[in-house]
Amino acid sequence: MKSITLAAGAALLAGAAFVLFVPTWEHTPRGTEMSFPQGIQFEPARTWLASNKAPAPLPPAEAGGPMATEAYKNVQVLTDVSAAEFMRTQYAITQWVSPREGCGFCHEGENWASDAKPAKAAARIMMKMTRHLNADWKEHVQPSGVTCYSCHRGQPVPAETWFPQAPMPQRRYVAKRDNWQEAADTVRKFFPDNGWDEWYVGDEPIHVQSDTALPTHRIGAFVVAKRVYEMMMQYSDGIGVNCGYCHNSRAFWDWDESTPQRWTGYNALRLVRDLNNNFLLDVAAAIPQTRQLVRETNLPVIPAQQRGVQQGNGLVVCATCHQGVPQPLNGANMVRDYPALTPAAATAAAR
Amino acid sequence: MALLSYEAKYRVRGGTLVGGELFDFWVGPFYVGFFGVTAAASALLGTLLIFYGAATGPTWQPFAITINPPPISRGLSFAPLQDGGLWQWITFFSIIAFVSWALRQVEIARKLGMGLHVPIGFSAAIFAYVSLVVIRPFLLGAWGYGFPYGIMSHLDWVSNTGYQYLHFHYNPAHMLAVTFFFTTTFLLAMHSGEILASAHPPAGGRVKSAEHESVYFRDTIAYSIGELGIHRLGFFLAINAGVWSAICILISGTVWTRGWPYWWDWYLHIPIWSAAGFN
Repeated sequence: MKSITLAAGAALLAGAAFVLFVPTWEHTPRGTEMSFPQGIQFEPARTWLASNKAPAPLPPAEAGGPMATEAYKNVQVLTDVSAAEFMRTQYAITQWVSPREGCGFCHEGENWASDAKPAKAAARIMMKMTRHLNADWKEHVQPSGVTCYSCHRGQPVPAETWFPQAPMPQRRYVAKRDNWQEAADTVRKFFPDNGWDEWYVGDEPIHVQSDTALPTHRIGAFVVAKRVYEMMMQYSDGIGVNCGYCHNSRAFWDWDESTPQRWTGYNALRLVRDLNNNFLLDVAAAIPQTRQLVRETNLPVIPAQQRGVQQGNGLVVCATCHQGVPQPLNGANMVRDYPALTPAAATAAAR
Repeated sequence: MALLSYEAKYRVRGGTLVGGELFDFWVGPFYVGFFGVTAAASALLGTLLIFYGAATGPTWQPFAITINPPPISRGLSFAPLQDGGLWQWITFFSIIAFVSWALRQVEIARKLGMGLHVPIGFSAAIFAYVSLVVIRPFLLGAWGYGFPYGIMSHLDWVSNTGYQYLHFHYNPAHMLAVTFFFTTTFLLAMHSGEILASAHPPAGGRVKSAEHESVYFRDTIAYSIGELGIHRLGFFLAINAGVWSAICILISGTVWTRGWPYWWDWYLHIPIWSAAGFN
C-alpha cells in the first residue's frame, strides 16, 4: 500500500512539473495597463513578419514648378502633381516597396519612360488602387489613410498576402497546404484558406447561423458554415481581436446585439472584394508569376508552395494591411505627408 | 410542522462555532444558529439590492434584468451604486451568505459528530464563484472582469468570455473540469440506478444488501469499490469538478492571454518532431 501511495505521489508531482514547465505559459503583469477592453481583445496570436511602426516622412517637396506631365514622359497616374512632388513620391515608393531592388525594380535601365518591365504596369495599378482607397473608401481608411507602406512594409510582396490555392493533387489532405502536418508551428496553420474566395473575391451570403432557438430548418450548408468560420478567423487573426470585438457570441447574426465595429468590418469586406476584383486580379495578369520569370531577380519571388491558381501576385485580406492590429501601423497617418496619393489633396497641392 | 419520528434524535445542543447558545434553536425543521442569521440577512439584503437595481434599471422583463459590474476603467476602486456599486455590494452580501451557509453546515456536522465533508464539498462551489467575481478580477486589476448578475447577461458573459480565448474547450483545466462534471453526473446516475435496483425489487423479489451489490460488480467488472468507496469516489469527482472549473477561469487572462488553441502549440514545438526528421 505504501509503495502505491509513493508511486501515485511521484506520478502526481511529475505530472504537475510537466504542466508547469513543458508548455509555454505567459506571465502578465497585474494591473489595468494589461487589461484588454471588456470582451474585446487578446494578445496578438502570433508573431508578425512586419513591424507596426511607420517610417519618418521624406522632406517636403518645393512648392510650384512644372507639373509632372510637363517634365516627364509617359506619366499616366500621377498626372495632377508637380514634378518635384512626383519625384518625391517616387523615392518614397522605392523605400516602401523595393528598398533593396531600387528604381530598377520597375524601370528599365535609364529609360524611365519605358514600359518594358511588367512590374511597372503593376505599380500603376497599385497607385490607382491607393488613390481609389484614399478617395472612395474614406469611411474605412480615414483619418490615417493608405500608402504603399500600409501593406508592403519594405517588401515587394506584402508579408500577409493570400494566394488562392491550386486544386490539390489526388491523395492529399483536402484543402491543406503541402506538408502542413509537418511544417506547422502553430495550430493556426491547420486552418485551410481555400474557401475564402467565396467572400474575399466572390459575393456569397454569409448568413449560416440559425436565428431561432431550436433549429427548424437548415440556414446554410455545413461546409459553408465551416468556410465562414475560417474566413472570420482571418478577420480575427488579421485585426488582432476576438469575436466579441464585433459580435455578441450568443447571437452572431443579430445586428441589434453587435458593436459598431461590425459595421466597419461589414464595409471592409466590400472593400477587400473591390480591391481584389478591380485591382489585384489585374496585377496578377500584369505580372505572370511563372517559374521562368522567377529567375529574373528583380521580380518578387513567390515560394512555389504559395503560388496559386492565378499564377500571379496574391490577393489582399484584412491581415495584409492590418498586420495584427485594429488600426494599421497603430493609426499612424502617413498619407498626410504624401498628397500625391490622394486625388483631392494632389489637386489642392498642385495649385 | 410536525416532527418526524427520527428528528428529535438529530436535535442536538452545542457544537456551535459562534454565539454559544444564543442562536442554538430551530425554526420549524430548520436549525438557525449565528450563521443561519447572517446567511438569511445577507441573502435578503443581496436579493433586495437586485430588486433595487431592477427597479432603477430600464426593464422588468425577468430575462433582461441585469446588474453589471463596474466598467474596467474603474479598476479595483469602489464604484458609484448605479455604475457597478450595486454589483459590488451584491457580490459582498452573496459571499457572506454562501460562507455563512458553509459554516452553518460545519455547526450541524459538529452537532451530529459527522466529518466536514458537506461544508468542504460546498466550499468548492463557493471557491468557483469567488474565483470568478473576486480572485480573477483582482489578479487582472479590475472588478469589471466579474460576470454580470442577470439571466441572459450572465450567459452572454460566459459565451463572450469563452470566445475571448477563441475556443475555451482547448483550455486544459476546462477539459478536466468538464470531464469531472460529466463523470460525476454519470457516476451518480449509475449509482442511483444500482441502489434503486437493489432497494426496489420486482413484486415478490427480495431487497438486496450492499454485499449483493459488491458481488454483482465483482462478477461483472472484477472489482467493487465498496459502499464507502463509491461515496468517496463521488465526493472526489464532484469536488474536482468545482475546483478545476475555478482553475480554468483563474488561468485565463493571468497566465495565458491568447486563444486557448494556441496554448497547445507547445506540442508542435517539442523537440521530438525535429529529432524524428519532421520539420
